[in-house]
Parts: sequence; structure tokens; C-alpha cells
Amino acid sequence: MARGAGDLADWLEEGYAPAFRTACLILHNRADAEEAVQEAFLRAWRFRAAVPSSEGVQPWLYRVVVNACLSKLRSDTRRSAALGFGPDEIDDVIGPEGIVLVDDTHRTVVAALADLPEHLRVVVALRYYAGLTEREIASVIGRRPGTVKSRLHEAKARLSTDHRLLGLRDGKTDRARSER
Amino acid sequence: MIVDDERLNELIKEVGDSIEVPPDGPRDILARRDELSSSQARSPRLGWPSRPSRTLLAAAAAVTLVVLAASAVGIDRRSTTTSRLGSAHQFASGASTIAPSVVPAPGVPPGAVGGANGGSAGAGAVSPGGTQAAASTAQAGAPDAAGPSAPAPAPSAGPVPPSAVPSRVVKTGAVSLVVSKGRLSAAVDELTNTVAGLGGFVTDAKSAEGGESPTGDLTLRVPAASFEALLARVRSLGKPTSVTTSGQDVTAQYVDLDARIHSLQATRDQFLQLLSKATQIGDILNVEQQLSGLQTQIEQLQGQQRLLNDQSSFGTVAVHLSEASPSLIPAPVGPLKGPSGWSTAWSHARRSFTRGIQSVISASGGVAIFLVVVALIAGAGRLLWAVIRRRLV
Repeated sequence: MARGAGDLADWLEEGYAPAFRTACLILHNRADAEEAVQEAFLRAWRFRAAVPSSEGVQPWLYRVVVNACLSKLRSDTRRSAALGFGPDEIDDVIGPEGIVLVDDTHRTVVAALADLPEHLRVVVALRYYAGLTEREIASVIGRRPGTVKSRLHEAKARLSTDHRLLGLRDGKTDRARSER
Repeated sequence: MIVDDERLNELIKEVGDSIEVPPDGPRDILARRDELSSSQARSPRLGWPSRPSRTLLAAAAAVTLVVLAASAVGIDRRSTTTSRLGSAHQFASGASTIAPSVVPAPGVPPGAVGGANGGSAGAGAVSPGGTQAAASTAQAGAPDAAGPSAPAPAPSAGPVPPSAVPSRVVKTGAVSLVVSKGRLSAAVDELTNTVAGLGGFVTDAKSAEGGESPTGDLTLRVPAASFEALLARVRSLGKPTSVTTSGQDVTAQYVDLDARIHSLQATRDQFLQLLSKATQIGDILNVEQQLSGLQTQIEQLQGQQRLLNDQSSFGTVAVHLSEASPSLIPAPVGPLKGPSGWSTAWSHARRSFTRGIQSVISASGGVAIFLVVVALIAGAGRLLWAVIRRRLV
């Protein structure tokens, strides 16, 4: 993501890909993620004067993206019953062009993430994919760092005992092995 | 087997990175941004105000703050006035038969006022003194006592040495007293004797001694010097539930009366001279008519002055007596009788806390109200801004 305040083009160049992928991990739908990220960047640009000087652009942009995703989730009633996460929807996440590269490991991880409640999914995506610190996540979701810590702990507890993830073989994923 | 943190991190990172990013996404966003910009340029923008507008908003906020500060000071002044009126009302309700008296200030000979202005006849003799006396009345903060003998000071003009004007103070007091059961008539007798001993007298006495709650109302007048002694004696007779005393400076009123009398007398003397020189019947009748009017006015003013003089040496205390009801009489020591130590301590603490808050507010005046208002506005603004920001982003 962008490190400093600048033009929208700069923000997009640096931040579009991670923002889109984070949104995909939260929303499990490429079309929705694309829509949410587009909306988020436009909002961010429109209200760029509100960028807090203390925390920088990156957490702020993530905040905009996460809020857009959450709005999307809440406005889309389909999502309320989206716990049953089928293989077709996993393809929605990875993208049609990426299907050939997707192996069972990826499907399993996406399915396990999809089963998490949204408040846990958000912190997992921000922590493990976007690489934000607990403090930065707290700023993004507008909660105390302690809350973030407890949510992460709960998410890890669920994922670490998820039978689908436990069934995965040790070491690198199939994709990583095939690349090697 | 449990999936460890590192493995989880690795898996999610890898899955995230494998998600293909739409190549046209950034371009679409830029195109929509341009589209929005052009439409905003065509139509007035309804979103977050631009910088000049924010400057205007800041200016408006500053003006609002100033107006609020002014209102806070106004409220403080009004509340001061209200509390004065409130105390006057309390006094009036406590003693309906009080007549204010005028008391010369200690160390001032009774005839000093008349003597001070005797040499300078005319309405022009008193203004600075009157003004000063009016100012001292305002500073003293004395409530306006009801009564025909205390009209507002009339404006007058003319020089007089300020030191020649003594201050005159109306001293009044009201005490509500609870005496022990069956002690009401004894207390009335004792008060009557006390007043007589101090050289005063009882102007009004009412008592209702029948029934379960006998009460009595006395209006006592004693020489000014004994006013405080009488109050102390009254308070010692029982448990006072409310004590109100007030002093009203009526020097301006007295001096003004004096000046008006002298002015009218001077005019009358001139008319008398004219009368002695008049030869025509019409002139004589005209002058006599004027003289008659003047004389009436002089006598009215002198009557008022005599009233003030008459009352000047006595202070007035209205006493309301009532007998303690059984619940107020200290109960004999025993289990489950009377308030416990805890409840007494609690009620004392509560009263002290309330008094403390009141005294802090009254001591700080408008500043506290202003600060509270500013803090509330700042807090609300901060909260609003946080909400708006969360909504916006």
C-alpha cells in the first residue's frame, strides 16, 4: 500500500493489488471485492483531506477498504447465509485465469477462512495477508489493540483445529512444490 | 496435529498472493474519478466542504463560542439576581409582618445627615453622595425590602463632600425556629421579656397553640445596637431551621429626600418674598396657589423623612416558632430507634458534597459555566467528527 499521501494513481499503483486480495479474503467474491475496492479508493480520494497525519495513509486506506467490505457484507443479504462455501465460489475468489494453478490446499484454506465469522476474518486477512501489526489493525477496525489480540487468538484457535487444515500435508503446498 | 502460527501465516499469504488482480481495476477507478470530478465541477458539491468553507466554518464556530461565552456570563448574572430575589422571597414568606427600619451607621450622630446638607439648600446639593450611596447599595447586594418607606432613590444633582454623607442601613431578619414539644408558649414569653430587656418591643404576635402542631409568629423590634444580640438570643431558644438577615443601604433615599425638602423650602422662600412684593390681586392669588402646592409637597416629603427617622433606631426580626414533631425529638437510646450513625453520616456527607459543589460554582462565577460549555462543545465536536470520519471512510 502507499506509504505517503499522494495522488490516486500513486495509491492505486502501490495499494490496489493488496487491497483487492484482502477484500477477496474477506468477501469471497471477486466481483464484490472489485466493487468494494473501487468504492473504497474513490471514497479515500474524495476524503483525502481526512487522512490522519499521525498514522499515515496505509492503515487509513485499509480502514476504508475494510469498511467498504463490511458495508458490502451487511448490504448483501446473500452473504448472511454464505457459510456454505462451495467450490464454485472458491473459483470466484481465485479467478478464472488462476484456476489451473489452484490446488486443493488453496481451496481448503479459502474454505476454512470462509467459515470464520466476519469480525475474525477481517483481522486474519489484515494480520496474515496484509501484514499489519496488531496496533495498526486496531486503528483500521476502530477497536483497542487488546480486542484485536483476542480476536486473533480466537481465529487462530479455530483455524489451528480446523479439520480441513489439519488434513493438509506438512511443508509447502502443492503449488509451491510444483513450482519447485 | 495443530496448525501452527507460522504455517497459518504462510498458507494465508500464499493463498492471498495467488488471487489474480483484475488488470483493469485501477484504470476503471481513475476513469470513475475523472467522471465524478467533472460531474462535481458541473454541479455544486454536497460532500465535505473545501478548505475555504472550512475556514468559514471555523470562523462561525469561533463566533458561536463567543456568543455562548457571553450567554454564560449573562446566565451567571441572572442567576445572581434570581438568588437575591429568592432570598428576599424567603424573607417575605418567613415574616409577612416585617416593617423595615432605618438604622444609622455606627459612629454617626443621628443629626449628621440633616446638618451635612443644611447649609446647601437646593436640589443640586446631593448628587455625588447619592450616586455613591446607590453604588454602595449595589455592592452590598442587599435584597430590596418591601414597604412604602423604601422607594427607589430619585436622581439629583449638585456637589456635596462625600465624607459628609453617612450611610444608613435597614436591618431586617427572619428566623424559623423549632422548639421542644410543649415549650412554645414559654419561648414566646421568653422572647417578649428579652425584647423588653433590650429596650425594644413586640409589634406583632400571633400564635396557634391548639392542635398537634402549635405555631407562633412574632415580629420584634429592638434598637439597632441590640439587633445581633436579639438574633443570637432567638437562635439559642431552639433549633433554627432557617435564618435570614439582610441590610439595605437607604442612604441615597434619605439624602435625596433631604435635598428635595431643602430645594422646595428655598423655592417657597422665594415665593414668600414675591408675595410680600405683590400688589395686584391676580399676582397674589397666583403666588398663594403656588405656595400652597409647595407646602403640600414639603409636608409629604417631611412625613416620609420623619418615618425614616422614626424607624432609624430599630431593627426588625420576624420569628416563626413551631414545636418539634415527635419524629424530630431525639429518641431515647435503644434498638431500631432514630437514624443510625451510617444514615446520619451519609446525609451529612451528601449535604457537604452539595454545599461544596455549590460553593465551587458560586466562587468560580461565569468561568466554570463557560468552561463546562466549551468542554461540552469540544467533546460533542470530537465525537461528531469521529462518527463522521468513520461514516465517510
